[in-house]
Amino acid sequence: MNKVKLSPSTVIGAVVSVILALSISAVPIGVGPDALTWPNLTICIVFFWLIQCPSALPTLAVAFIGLAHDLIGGGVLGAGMLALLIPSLAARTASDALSRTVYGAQVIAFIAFAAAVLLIEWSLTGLPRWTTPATGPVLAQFFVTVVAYVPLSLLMRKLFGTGRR
Amino acid sequence: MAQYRSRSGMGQIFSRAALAIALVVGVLVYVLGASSDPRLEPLRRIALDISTPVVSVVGAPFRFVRDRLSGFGGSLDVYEQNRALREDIVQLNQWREVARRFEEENARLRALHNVALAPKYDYVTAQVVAASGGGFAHAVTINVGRDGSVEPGAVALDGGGVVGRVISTGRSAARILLLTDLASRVPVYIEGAETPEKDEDDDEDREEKIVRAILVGDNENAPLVEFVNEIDDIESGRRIFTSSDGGIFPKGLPVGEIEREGDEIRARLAANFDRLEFVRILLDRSDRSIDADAVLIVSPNRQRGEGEADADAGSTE
Repeated sequence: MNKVKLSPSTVIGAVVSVILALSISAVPIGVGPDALTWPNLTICIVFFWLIQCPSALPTLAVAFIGLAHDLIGGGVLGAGMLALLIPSLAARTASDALSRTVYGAQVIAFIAFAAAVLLIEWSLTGLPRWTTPATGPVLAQFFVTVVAYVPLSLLMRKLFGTGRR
Repeated sequence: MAQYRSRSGMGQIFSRAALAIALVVGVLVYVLGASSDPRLEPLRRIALDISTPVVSVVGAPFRFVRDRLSGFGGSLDVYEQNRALREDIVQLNQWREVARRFEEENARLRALHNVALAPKYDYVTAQVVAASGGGFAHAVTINVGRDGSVEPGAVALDGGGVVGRVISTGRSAARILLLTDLASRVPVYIEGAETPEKDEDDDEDREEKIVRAILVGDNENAPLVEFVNEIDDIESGRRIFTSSDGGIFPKGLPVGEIEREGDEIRARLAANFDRLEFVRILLDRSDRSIDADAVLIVSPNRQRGEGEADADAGSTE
């Protein structure tokens, strides 16, 4: 079994990593239109825990993380929450199978997960104003997030002693 | 899957109930959030007060690295910067003389016409401690809130021009919606545009050479300029200022310049978002207290009806 076992230290690790991801995502490295494209670390961390230890991140916790992401980021409240919640159901269902597969397959699953999250959030952001938000910054964030997931997930696997086959 | 199968019946029921609750709450929050329902405001305030110190501490090393890198980059072209600054000083000295002459002339004209000035504005300077890093929202969080007299609706500026407006305030933090955000709508006027079809007899129309418009953010670098009442007169380079329509922004704050490509008109913003570390928040110090007896506005029919009713009551007594 490659999964992380649920223990107090795992729960603390999940909580701390989520708080760090939410905070680092809000660090102002450039602002507004001139902001440096910054990875959505919340997506990376949530996916990692959903695959490696879904019990450490129950559904209500994922919803709360999405809400916190909206509140800190300043977007349409609930858009990020639903965007994170819906694909997380699929990831949770496939977590057993994904945790047993090779690392490359996990990365491919993450690409699909990140694309679904950002696509849903993009749609829900534009829906209230019946407009299409700019796609360029979202695509850039998608690519940066996928690139960031690889070192981040390897670091997390090292820290929590998981993924060794 | 196997994990789910092995769960007890109660566990599955609990898991499904949690899922249902999460989805219902998510949809509810989204509906309220999309309609900017004020009932979510306390939630935003609490989140601002909790998250701002955490983000500020976590972001400190990132800001340190950014500042060092930026400083290193700046030191490489210090000679060029020095030359450009000296040129600017020469130009600014010329403008200072022009400004002094205008200031004196302005003071004389005000004295002549007994002009009542617009309400005085004070300001507070705040540091940007957090920003939305994604492509969905353009907002920043500052480290001054209600304790610093910052209220929702207050205007934020940097050295160049308007940055946005405060949309939410916590006790010691506030969120600013930037002009480029998808939700941003700012009434503006475009200076120097001639209004066509002027009425020869109407002096006011002839003097007013401004065009009103709405600055519409769309998450792009340059917001759209829409609802322009005289679109033919708009050329690239015309300056854009805030208008006081709607009562949110004071009139005449610099916003940027027109960038026109065919029918698409956008605004090149004057604010420097690249290094937005500090912003000034305008505080409206005008006295809004009612110092006279309020006069009820009642329709004449209703007044007449009440008068007749009083008369009837008097006659019965």
